[in-house]
Amino acid sequence: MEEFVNRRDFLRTFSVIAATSMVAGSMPWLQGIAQEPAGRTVRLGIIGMGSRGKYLHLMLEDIPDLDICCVCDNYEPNLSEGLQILGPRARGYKDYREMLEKEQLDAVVIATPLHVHAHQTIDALNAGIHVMCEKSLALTYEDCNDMVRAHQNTGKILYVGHQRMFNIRFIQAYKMIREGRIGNVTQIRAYWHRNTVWKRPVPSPELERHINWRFYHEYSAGIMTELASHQIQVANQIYDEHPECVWGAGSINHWKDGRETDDNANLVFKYPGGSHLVYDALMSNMHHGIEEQILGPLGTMELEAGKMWEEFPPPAPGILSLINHLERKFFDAVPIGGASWIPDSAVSRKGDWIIDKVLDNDGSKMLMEAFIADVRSNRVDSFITKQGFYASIAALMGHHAIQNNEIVHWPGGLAM
Amino acid sequence: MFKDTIITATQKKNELFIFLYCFGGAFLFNIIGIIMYKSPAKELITQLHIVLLLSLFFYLLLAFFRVLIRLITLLVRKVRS
Repeated sequence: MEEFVNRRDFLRTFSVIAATSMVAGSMPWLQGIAQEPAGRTVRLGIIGMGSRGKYLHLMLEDIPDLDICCVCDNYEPNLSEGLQILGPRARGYKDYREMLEKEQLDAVVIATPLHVHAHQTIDALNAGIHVMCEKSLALTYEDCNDMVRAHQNTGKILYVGHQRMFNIRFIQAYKMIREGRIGNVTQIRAYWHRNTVWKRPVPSPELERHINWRFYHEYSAGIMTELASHQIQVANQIYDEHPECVWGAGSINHWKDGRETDDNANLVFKYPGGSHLVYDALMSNMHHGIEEQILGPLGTMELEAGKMWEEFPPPAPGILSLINHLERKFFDAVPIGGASWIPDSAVSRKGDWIIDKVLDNDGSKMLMEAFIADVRSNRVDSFITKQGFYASIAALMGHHAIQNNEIVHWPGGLAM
Repeated sequence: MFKDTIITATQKKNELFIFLYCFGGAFLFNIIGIIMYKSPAKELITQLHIVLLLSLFFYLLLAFFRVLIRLITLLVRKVRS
């Protein structure tokens, strides 16, 4: 099993980053986790015990003074499995409203299909319960807006599951970017390539839409809300803005199995100041995998690989430069005429690690630790809500741009 | 089976001097590099490991040619006699 970074290791590394950084104060979403646990037991319920719900439970299970007392899922096999995982003391519900009403909960984790996030989140917040909702927030602008309004009106925490915000590698990169290590970011390129059907096995045909909800417009915006929203959040955070507009194209060109949502998408998000996020997703080739490439006049970062390249690395020592010069003079071919242009070949240097590889993980564990720490101390910070909100709106904009074949602008009248 | 050989003190002294010349040559190489590429003067010290490797390279290169010349001289003497 993957080794997850524990809270102590995370805080030790974060304190090193913060101690050497002028920008630690601009990371408000990390302030809660840095506090010592108060010791009050938090009562938590999980809504949605599918694959993501089970994974989040794994992230939660060894947090001290946390009582995961109930679980809710309207799909019987998931509910039974959830109860089995939680143990005999846990109670199970098929209706989340009943769970919110009967249990004295401090917080809920929502890991359900996208189209039900909104009413579950709003009902929980209105019941005075803190919420950690998986990304994206919702399927429509209006639902996203209503969720954020409920957070603002109730003063309750609304976390959104953007785990890269808690990945120490991304935090270090964010700090380095803020310190100007790669100059002003002029472009971000992000892609997510898989070669997988992305389809869950279905025990009977009538459950197809229920289980494979990511494939149907009624429940999901597919690639945009399930994959791209993560990378849009990273771009938003780095640009410290939300996109002004987006255009692009998408289609189903490989997995023609009855799905409605695209299996490939190519988009350009335009940010204030003229910088772009160039995005593409593909479900029929995994050669390039997943990456967010941050480009500036002084350097390049690849956040998933955890590496950076300086545009102008410090020169080699004089003696080595002289040896290289002589070597080239003796052994290189002699050009007959001068080249009229030099090919812009890609840089082949190995680059430097952004941070120690030992601390490599996806950030989900620290996200859950931070959520519970904030619930325990009743610390409401809207930064993470705003990040989730902006990423969700931008993902939906991308979806509309593809669907309607038009340039979609940032909608007006939003809650944030 | 193996013949005992004697390396005289003069031979040892000669080899040591040859290596010192090589080291001097490599050190000069470092100075030229620093001047040509406007590198910091501290490289006179920090790049000593490269200087040492380069002097070893010079010494081995020289040894190769010395052995070659000696073999040719021996061969010529043998032919003449």
